Amino acid sequence: MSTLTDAIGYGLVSAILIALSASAFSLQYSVSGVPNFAHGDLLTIGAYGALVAQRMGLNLAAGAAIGGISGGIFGWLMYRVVLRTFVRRGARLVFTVAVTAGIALILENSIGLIFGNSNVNLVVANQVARHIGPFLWTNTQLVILIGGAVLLGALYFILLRTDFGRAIRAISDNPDLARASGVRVERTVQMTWLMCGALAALAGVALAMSEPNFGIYLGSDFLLVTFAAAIIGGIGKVNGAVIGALIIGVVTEVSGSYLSAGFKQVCAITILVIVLLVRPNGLLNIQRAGAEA
Amino acid sequence: MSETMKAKTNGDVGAPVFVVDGLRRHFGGVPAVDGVSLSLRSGEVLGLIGPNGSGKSTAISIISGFIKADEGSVVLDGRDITNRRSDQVARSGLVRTFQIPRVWGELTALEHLLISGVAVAEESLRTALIRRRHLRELERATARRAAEVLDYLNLGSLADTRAGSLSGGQKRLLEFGRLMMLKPKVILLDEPFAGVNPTMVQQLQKVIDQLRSEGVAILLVEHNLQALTESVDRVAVLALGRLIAEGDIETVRQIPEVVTAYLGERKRK
Repeated sequence: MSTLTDAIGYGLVSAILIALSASAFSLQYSVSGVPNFAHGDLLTIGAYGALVAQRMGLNLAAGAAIGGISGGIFGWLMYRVVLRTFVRRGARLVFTVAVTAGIALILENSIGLIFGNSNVNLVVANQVARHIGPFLWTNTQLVILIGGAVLLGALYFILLRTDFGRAIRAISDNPDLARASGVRVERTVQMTWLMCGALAALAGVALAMSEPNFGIYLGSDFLLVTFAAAIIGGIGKVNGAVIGALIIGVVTEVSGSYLSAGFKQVCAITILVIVLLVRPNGLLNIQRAGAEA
Repeated sequence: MSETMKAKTNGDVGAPVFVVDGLRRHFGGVPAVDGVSLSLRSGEVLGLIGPNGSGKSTAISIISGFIKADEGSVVLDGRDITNRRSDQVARSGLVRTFQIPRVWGELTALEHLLISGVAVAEESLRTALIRRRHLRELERATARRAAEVLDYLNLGSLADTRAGSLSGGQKRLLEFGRLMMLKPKVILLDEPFAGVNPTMVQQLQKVIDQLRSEGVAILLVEHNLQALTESVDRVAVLALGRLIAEGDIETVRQIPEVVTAYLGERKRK
């Protein structure tokens, strides 16, 4: 019994990491129609940003802030400098996939060039595990759970209660109507890439905190579960990404604890295929395949 | 400016709020809009009629910034807005509807109006996170106005309903609400009465009358001639991208070119 509840506990930590990453991926896709294959590298940038801060003698909170800001800037630059041109010209999906995959390679190799290809780690204090209800969590995991929940809450607040959030939702639904209503579509899309870059980078910091060590593929190795969660929920919807993340996070951790850790990715893909067989547009069933900005 | 336009505007008092001059757009060598000139004064309603493919919708799309013009100019209240981005055109006070009513299906009726309100001019990550006091006041004022507009359109009880589940007529009313929130000087209506039941047509006409009484100039593209007769001051007739006639509806009806190009076609139906 304790193995199951422990696994569910770890699964919830995984789920919050996946939820942050998948929400960011999904929102970027919904406003611009670009499936960002360099999304994982935004996580990696966040982790290395925190690493640099730590090496400069700053604490982990400051490191997370620096990581988040770095990811935001890179997310914005990715769209502003490269992808915007493709989106404006109405490039087909295959081109934006190729371009973002190319950006991913460039970023990974650049990070390797600067930091070396050997693994590094964030210094995380006090890994003592404690029982909270039925679950066994370390202090670090608790910080990730609470911090992640706060970030998701903030994201929901922005989307549902602010003009910026309403503009994001309007653009995701019908960008032409948004333009006809005076919404600054281009600026809103750029700000969305900035916000989601920061969100992904913070997920990267949390991911690096939960791993004993990490390297330049930290984020790209996380891409598969991110895609799976975003697609299962119905791509383009934050609600869907969170539900998808819960399913993928908990099921992969539980299956990993009974089978082998190596089965986690297989399990994620299996869930993805089964869900799509039953609901081809994902659980929350969005029809629209992205917007042109 | 075309000869027909000159004849009309010379006799009018007050400067036009909206002037389109020599608008031209070709698609692969084929002229879709070929030297169209129009002008509107505050509170005036101009009907734009013409057979399918005559360039009415293309003209609206060019004027509203969705398609770039090859030549010509669009001037709103003395400001040249030719080939501006569509969102800039909307914020400058020239707004449009679409042939098929468009709504954001996932957003509530109230949210539609809030987006179109003043606050939308301020949307950014910075203002979303740091909600300054004047912004909050602006939001409150926008919310009040949105509630008033919904009540005026008899949509008050549907404020929190997802727009995707509204009826066709209600969606059309919501579009008008969206326009009203933008405090427009000029409105371009692309076949607003198409597929709308007679009661709703009356309600839409009431809204149009209200807008014109507030000084809004309206360009109304329509196939429904009966509705046009009751709503417009003048009509302009477009055929093959060119303006072939302009004047009051009875005069225009008599012009043989118009009968051939448009009215004749309607009569045969």
